[in-house]
Amino acid sequence: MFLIKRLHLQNGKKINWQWDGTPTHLVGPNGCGKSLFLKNLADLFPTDYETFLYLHRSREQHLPEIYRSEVLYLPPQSSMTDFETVDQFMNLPWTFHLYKNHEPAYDFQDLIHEWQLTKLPPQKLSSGEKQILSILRALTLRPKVLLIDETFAHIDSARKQKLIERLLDWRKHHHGTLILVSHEETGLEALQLKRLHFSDLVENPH
Amino acid sequence: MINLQGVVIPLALVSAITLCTYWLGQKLHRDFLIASIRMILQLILLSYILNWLFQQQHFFVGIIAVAVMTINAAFNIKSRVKHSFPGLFLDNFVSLAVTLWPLSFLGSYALYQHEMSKISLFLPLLGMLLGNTLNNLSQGLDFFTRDLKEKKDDVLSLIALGATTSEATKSLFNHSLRVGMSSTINSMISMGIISIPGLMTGQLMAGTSPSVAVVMQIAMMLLILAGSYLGLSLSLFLARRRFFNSRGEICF
Repeated sequence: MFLIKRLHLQNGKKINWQWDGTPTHLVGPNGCGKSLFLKNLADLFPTDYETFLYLHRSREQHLPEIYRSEVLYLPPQSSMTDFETVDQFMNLPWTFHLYKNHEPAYDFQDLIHEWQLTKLPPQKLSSGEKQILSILRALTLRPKVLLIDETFAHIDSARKQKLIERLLDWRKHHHGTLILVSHEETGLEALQLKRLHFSDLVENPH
Repeated sequence: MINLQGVVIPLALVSAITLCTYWLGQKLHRDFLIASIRMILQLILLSYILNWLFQQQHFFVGIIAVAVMTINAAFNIKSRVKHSFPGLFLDNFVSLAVTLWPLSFLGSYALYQHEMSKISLFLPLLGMLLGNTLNNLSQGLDFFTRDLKEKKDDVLSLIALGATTSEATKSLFNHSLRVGMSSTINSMISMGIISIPGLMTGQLMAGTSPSVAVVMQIAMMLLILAGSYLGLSLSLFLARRRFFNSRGEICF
């Protein structure tokens, strides 16, 4: 799915990776650059590389907005300061030009109501609740690759299991896959992620 | 005819106040002194320059004067924006020139019709527009650049969802526009109730009838509002392009 040779991260590290699309859990210590790698994978920063192929085509051959909607990066924390309601937050991407004339892949109103996520203004939701909404919103956009940057970190285990069920459903019906980065995380066994250490991707400077 | 007495009395008053601040240890006397001397010298110099300019009939002399005024304004805005970025001066110059030069012609035509091309009418109008728009641009741009850096993660998360750079920064852009325009809007709201504007005051003191002075002031304020909005919108648009590349990747 990805063939990456000598991708220069902004922290000076160079990455080599051939990824066949197997759902992967990328682990590494704080500050090793795994989040930075995900952001570069999502084409959010300008960077140099020798080869960067996604679905056998170079990154430049993909329209940037379409590429980012397919290889969708989910940050660890979503700010909701600009939103007055949860619906406004959930519907924001549908105001973008890219998603005009598209329909959401899922309607997660059942989970949103079950977990009473509309009871408070978005700014007053807990970190975990904001993360849940971010994941659900991302799934409605039909990404092909979901890049999850510690987005499960603050979610309690009961809700995490239900979210994982939805993620498995998305993988099955939309043939989506994911790369998750975190230090260490438990409760993700059902996702059947291949565990990989970030340092294995980093080119040895010598 | 104004005699020097008109300046001597206010000058004596400011001198007395400056001495007072010195005796009271308020550390304002230097600022008062420098600001007063600079203002007097700059305005005397301006009077000589304007006298000379107004006597010129060459079109290109007017163009040079307009360019110098706009360059000065663009530099001034650059120095007031705390989070400066490469290209800021050029963006300011383009924003001011593209919006205020045609607007000054339009204003000259609206106010003076067949005399619109006279330098003595066009330059003061452009000066008023530049002076006001300069504040709007520096406030709006300062807010935009600061907020963009503070909310980098929010912008990043929107771009990650597939937003274009204009969609991802729409809320910041509009907020900066409101911040930049607020001083002009506030001054318009208070005009005539709390304050008598400078242009109108000058005309009244020169003996113009209030009804004529009011018409001139209304036209001027509407031109200032239009110029500020257009200049600030263009400068924010140009500034935004400096923070992203053609693929919409974040370069700050």
